[in-house]
Amino acid sequence: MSDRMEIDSDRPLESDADQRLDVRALIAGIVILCGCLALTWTASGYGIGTPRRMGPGFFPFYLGIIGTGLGALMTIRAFVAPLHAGADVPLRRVIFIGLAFVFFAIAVEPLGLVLTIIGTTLLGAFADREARPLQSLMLAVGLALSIWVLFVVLLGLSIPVWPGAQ
Amino acid sequence: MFRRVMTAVAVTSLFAGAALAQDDYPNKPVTLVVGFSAGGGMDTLGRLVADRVTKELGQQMVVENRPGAGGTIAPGYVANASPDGYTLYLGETAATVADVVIGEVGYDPIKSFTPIAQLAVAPLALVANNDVPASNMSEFVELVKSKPGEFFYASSGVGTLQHLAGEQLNHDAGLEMEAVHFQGGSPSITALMSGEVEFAITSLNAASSQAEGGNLKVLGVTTKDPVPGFESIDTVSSVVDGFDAAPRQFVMAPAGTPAPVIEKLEAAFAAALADEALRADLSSRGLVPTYLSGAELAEQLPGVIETWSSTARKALDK
Amino acid sequence: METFANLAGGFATALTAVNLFYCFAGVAMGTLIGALPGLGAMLGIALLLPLTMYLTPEAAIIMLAGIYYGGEYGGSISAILINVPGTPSSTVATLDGHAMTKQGRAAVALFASAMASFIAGSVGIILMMLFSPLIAKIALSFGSVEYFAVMLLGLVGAAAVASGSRLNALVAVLMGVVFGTVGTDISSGVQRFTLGFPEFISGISLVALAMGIFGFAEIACSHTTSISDKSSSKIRLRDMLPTRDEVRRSFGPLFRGTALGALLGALPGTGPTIASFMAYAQERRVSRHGDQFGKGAIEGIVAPESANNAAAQTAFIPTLTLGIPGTATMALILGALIVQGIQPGPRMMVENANLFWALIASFWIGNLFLLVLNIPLVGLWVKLVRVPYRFLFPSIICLISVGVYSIDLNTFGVLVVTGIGLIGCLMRAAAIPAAPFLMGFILGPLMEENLRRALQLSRGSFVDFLSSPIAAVCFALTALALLLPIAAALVAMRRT
Repeated sequence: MSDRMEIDSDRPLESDADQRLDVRALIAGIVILCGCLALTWTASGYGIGTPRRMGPGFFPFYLGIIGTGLGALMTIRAFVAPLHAGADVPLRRVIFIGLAFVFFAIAVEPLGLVLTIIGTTLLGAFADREARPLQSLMLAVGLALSIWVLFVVLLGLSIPVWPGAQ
Repeated sequence: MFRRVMTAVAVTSLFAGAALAQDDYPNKPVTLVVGFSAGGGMDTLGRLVADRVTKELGQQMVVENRPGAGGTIAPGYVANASPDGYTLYLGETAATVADVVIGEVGYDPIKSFTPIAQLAVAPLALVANNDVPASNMSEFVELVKSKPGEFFYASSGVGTLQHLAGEQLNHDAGLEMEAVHFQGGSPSITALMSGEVEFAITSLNAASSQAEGGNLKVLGVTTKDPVPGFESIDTVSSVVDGFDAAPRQFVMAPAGTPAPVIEKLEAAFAAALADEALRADLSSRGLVPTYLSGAELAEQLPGVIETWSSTARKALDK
Repeated sequence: METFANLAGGFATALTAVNLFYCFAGVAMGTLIGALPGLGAMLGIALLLPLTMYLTPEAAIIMLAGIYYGGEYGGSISAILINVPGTPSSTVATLDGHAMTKQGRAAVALFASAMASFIAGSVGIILMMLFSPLIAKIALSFGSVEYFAVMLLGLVGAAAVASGSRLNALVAVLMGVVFGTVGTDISSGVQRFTLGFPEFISGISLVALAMGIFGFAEIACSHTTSISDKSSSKIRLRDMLPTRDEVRRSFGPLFRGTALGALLGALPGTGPTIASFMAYAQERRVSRHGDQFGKGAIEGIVAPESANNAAAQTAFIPTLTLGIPGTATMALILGALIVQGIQPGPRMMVENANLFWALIASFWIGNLFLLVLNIPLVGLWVKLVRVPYRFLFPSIICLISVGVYSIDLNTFGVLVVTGIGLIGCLMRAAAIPAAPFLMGFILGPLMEENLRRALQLSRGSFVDFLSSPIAAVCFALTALALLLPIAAALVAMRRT
């Protein structure tokens, strides 16, 4: 294992690790801890049964108990041996990409495939600051066309193509 | 006055339009909704039959896959579709007892639909591991009765027809086998062959190909009458009077579909199922083509559903 | 001899025009998506999953597998040329590969990488041909206890060898298993954690989950700085030949890398990435030119590249013969087979023998395609890699959406992608890895099922579990994988 540490240049060696509190790991640990407690609680409501006849709650119940332990370890480690290994999440991209997917889900049935793809593409394109309107629009039209050909013409799926088709 | 005339005109034209729509039915592609993903057994059945019915109707019949929720999304969707004959449901027995097994579903297997035709039945088989000292139904009953609670049988999952047929057998023959559930038929046969379980209930199609290789023994089939091509195999009903537990495949339209449309569809499916080529195709896929008209199916369905449902209620403690 | 007859039958299937086309499409797409930094074979497979439902099982699996091993080739292209690994398993190829590029010897590095990949891949295929029937035969006697034990070892093993924190990887596995419990419990019919959505009755869709975690989260969170200006070196065919000395120096690393990769690929939990890291480390230790490593030593390319490609092929052994995937990508391929109605496992070798051998045959064909794609046509990929992400990302979003929607014509799946994607982003922020999560998701339900059955058949006795030697060994190894890191940590703490 030690060999891998050396060639993995992204990861600081333990000795010069940042000793400040690892806030993200702390939050993650607490979320896992609470989530698994809730899991254990819910699972016990499904009926745990006996090993001979495992109830539907048996497996999730013990998963919850193990998970609670792991969450607790994560929480403690955030104080004792912080890793600071979490990646930065670019908020703008996440929001625009999320919106693009949600727009597709809401729009495809009332608006049809073509308009939906154009809208989704534009939203997705603006996840990137470098996007230019005209370029993105051309991409959107091209995508709408090729997706229409692939899914509707070639695969014969009954997806509405234009507004009011359903 | 003018308004009244206009209303009358509108009403008559509406009726005329509706009548016209029935007369030239079908004037656009008809959708056959399947409750399982493309590529599966039900999907294959749907595509084979739809291809053949297309020729009868003179209009394209297309298969649409709406999988999910154990196959209950599709019937729910068709039940709520407009009853114009353009949205049909390719169903199977499991979906008619889903309200017992799964809970609330968005349809009533009887009231929400008008049956059009039964296409086929898929016989199940009771099979045994090679080391089990029983090779026909009477030896089986004797053996299992002699050691109550000792034997396990593999099912394809809780609430599947394989499981329900097993429980019905337990009940009707007074046996005490314990069900062990597998995810589908293939793993259950593997477990049977490795000796992990003594018995299994699985599709005759899968069982017979393994029996040919000498990997297991087929003890009986769950249809009331012997299966064509497998006459040497006992029926379960030879030891348990009246036992009949074979999954059926059928086509239904949403309730309220106009009678002329239903008639047209019935004729088309009847003609398709009379075609030897299609029957051979279905047989090669382990199905026994068993045509029933809409009326015949409508007559039998309530009884079939009641039998399965009461077994399901007992088996699942519901 | 039977093997050759089978293989001939496999070639007959794989060489049909349709299957050739899907094989080519798979490896080409794999190379492209592997070469694009931040996008991996996983995303490619997830994207094409909905389409495979319209193909024959043979064509589907041939194409998906092609994406997988094609990605291993493609990943090295961007690693060597622009110092950005296209896939995790090509990370070590950046060290010496890019060093050679800086010396103006990129062509040699690419050639060495492609040749090493090809030879090691071929050896991997041969091993797969020889060992799969053997392992399948042993596995026929596997019962629920053995399956449970092997799966448990696979999951814990995957966490134990993951890069980064082992604790986080274990958390990822656990989260995956929990997500896998959503839906109807197959032994009681009780609906668990469905939150009242009927769409969840059959569980969370594998396609939606994979697309969320490897599509959404990947494109939203990957570091994709503009790479257009980093390299403009022209790659010419005649510059590709290594010196005679380099050829001679390559044999050892090629052999050792292939052996190590083939072994690690077949083990549950380990895969191409770990194989390449370990092969590099091993080679640096044994090589007489150890001091040149990181400065453009050819051994530093040949060893990891042969290891990851051998591993990519042998990884199919446990997936197909046991139905137990060793890596997340294999788990996805397993899922694709199940969707096709084919249950990978010991009986697949008998029941779907033709599919199995057609797949093997397609590996040879695909590796040949890849050799052509990677040596004469390498310039093409270099250009394609420079497609700006602002074009690529919207396209991927649209393909994911339409693909997921097309499966059941229900927009719910697209919303699941969004939700899982957001969870994936949060996991990245907390350094919880995605691959063990997916493995847990796929293996979890199988594990629960086998545990329940094992306990039912042993009439509730855990002690009976140890009477199976295979299970006992697996449990022991699992305990070791869990306890060793803890022991090591305790020793390390004592020292400071």
